Amino acid sequence: MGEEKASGAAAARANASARAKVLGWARRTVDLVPTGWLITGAGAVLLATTAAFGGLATVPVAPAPELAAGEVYTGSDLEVTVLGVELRDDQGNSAIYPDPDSGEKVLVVTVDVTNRFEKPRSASGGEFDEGSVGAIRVGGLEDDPLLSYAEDGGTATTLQPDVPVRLLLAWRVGTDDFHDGDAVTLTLPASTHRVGDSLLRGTDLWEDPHVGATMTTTVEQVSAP
Amino acid sequence: MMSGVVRSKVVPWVLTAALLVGAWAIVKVTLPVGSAQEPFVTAATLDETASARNLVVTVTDVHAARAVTDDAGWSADGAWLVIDLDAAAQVTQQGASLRTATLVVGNRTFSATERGTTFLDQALVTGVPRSGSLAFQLPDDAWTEHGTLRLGLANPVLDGVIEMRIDLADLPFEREVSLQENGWAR
Amino acid sequence: MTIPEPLFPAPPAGSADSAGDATHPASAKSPSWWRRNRLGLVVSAVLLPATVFAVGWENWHLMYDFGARPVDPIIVAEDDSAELVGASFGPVRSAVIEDLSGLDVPDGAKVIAAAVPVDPGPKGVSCRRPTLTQQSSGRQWALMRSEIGVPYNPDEPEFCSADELGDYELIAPFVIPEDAEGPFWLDVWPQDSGGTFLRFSIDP
Repeated sequence: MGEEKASGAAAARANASARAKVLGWARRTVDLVPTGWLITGAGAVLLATTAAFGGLATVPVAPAPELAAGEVYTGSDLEVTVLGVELRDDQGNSAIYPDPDSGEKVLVVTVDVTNRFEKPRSASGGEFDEGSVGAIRVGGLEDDPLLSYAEDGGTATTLQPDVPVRLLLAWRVGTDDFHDGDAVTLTLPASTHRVGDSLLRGTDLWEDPHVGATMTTTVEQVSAP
Repeated sequence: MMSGVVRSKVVPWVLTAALLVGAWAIVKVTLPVGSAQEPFVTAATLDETASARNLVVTVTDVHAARAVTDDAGWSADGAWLVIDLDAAAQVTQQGASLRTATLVVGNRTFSATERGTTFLDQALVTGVPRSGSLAFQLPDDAWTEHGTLRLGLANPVLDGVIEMRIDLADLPFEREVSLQENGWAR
Repeated sequence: MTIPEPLFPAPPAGSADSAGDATHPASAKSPSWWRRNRLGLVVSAVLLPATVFAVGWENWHLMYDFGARPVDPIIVAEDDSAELVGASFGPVRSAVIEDLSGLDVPDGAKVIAAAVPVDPGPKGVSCRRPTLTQQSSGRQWALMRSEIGVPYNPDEPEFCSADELGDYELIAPFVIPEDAEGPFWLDVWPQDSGGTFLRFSIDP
């Protein structure tokens, strides 16, 4: 009995001293690493690289470019050319029928658009596509326009890849909201594309819609013959 | 002994190499993200009936045209691919509408047009085929390759779809093609 | 960074007794397991039935409550009527329509029409269009009316409208392949029926 206790104590002592030896060695080895020098050196490299790239100040946001009529603008993977802005009393090929009794008119923006993405896009945009043609705004009007094909007035829903189409974007306006010769500013949208990765895995998303370009042009009154 | 040295110096490196090779093999073998939701494909050829779970399709004709028209008076110019087909449901009419109609050419995907009397979104009947036409407007540079037509119901995820390979370069361009009316297959 | 000193110094020789005998000797004065854990036991006694009730009720509501998706058929024998949500449906009459003149029906297909008398009861009843299921294969068909060229007729309703309080009859034509043989089930789907629907056996 006594020998067991003695040998047990000896074993415990041997373990403890071995542990102390290893810890001591580890501590001495780690003390050799000059951590102070490493941190200072890394900091210096970081600051030097930042300075080389222009410093720590925020990059000023570039203002949206101003386009001329007929110039091609690429944003949200769409090539858009604004051809003109018209004010109509009748529906024409647009998607809005103005009520003749209340003197309503239709403001129509004609655009040529080509989808440069590799899959079909929604023309009016939506929850997942916030920078499509339907996000173009004119003259301070906030509503979404109704889109139609310029050649036959049919409802425009999908834009096929690399197929150029001419679309009419129509807004319902009051009698005196716009006049012939008024100068209006159009804003063209830009957004960034991303493929969803969790709930929307695999879905193409266009997010962060913002003004990509502006254009100033004059409204042209068009009367039915 | 020599084996002690071997074990402590060579074995770890051999083990490292084996693990790296194994990791590379796993990366190569792994299917792309979303493969678990891929639909089950049934291949079809012209004039041959192909069936997926709830869809039975026979493609009766394929045209290339410079203009399309329909019986309601609509028409449009462009480079169009027109597919005439018969389709029916097999199991149930619930959810059985032809909502998926895409053409994959190279790395681009095109969808059938909603304009005119299109067969897109047509409600199908169990066991009794309906017929109509689908039209795809393609850019001019898409006609040198071959395309894959994919037809399916509203949600192709994990369901059956029917695919048919079309050689776009072999199709002669007709001046004008008319879309068939949507109706019973006769 | 330096490694700190070990927290517990190596045990001095002679105290080997300390290993293994950590507990003080059991005595009558130590509290029982029940008393020591009384907080946990009380909370469990409250939470366990509450969880069972919450989860169970949610699933019962989905399966059997009035708004449940109808998945349980109530099979009605031929020439019999049945009651659901306070309305009486049946007996169902059905026939193959032989005279197809003026109707747009392709070759290789036939038309079966079923008539379901509905007695809506005091509060009216709402139901969607009936469906036809072949008993042997399970294939299902939906109502066809405009597709075969039959114009809309307000005296031949396809679904139950809650506004109608007098007796009426649902008229349900179906286009099925010519070789589809009966017997069939005509399924009627009253709303808010608690996960069930009516399944009438017909053999036209």
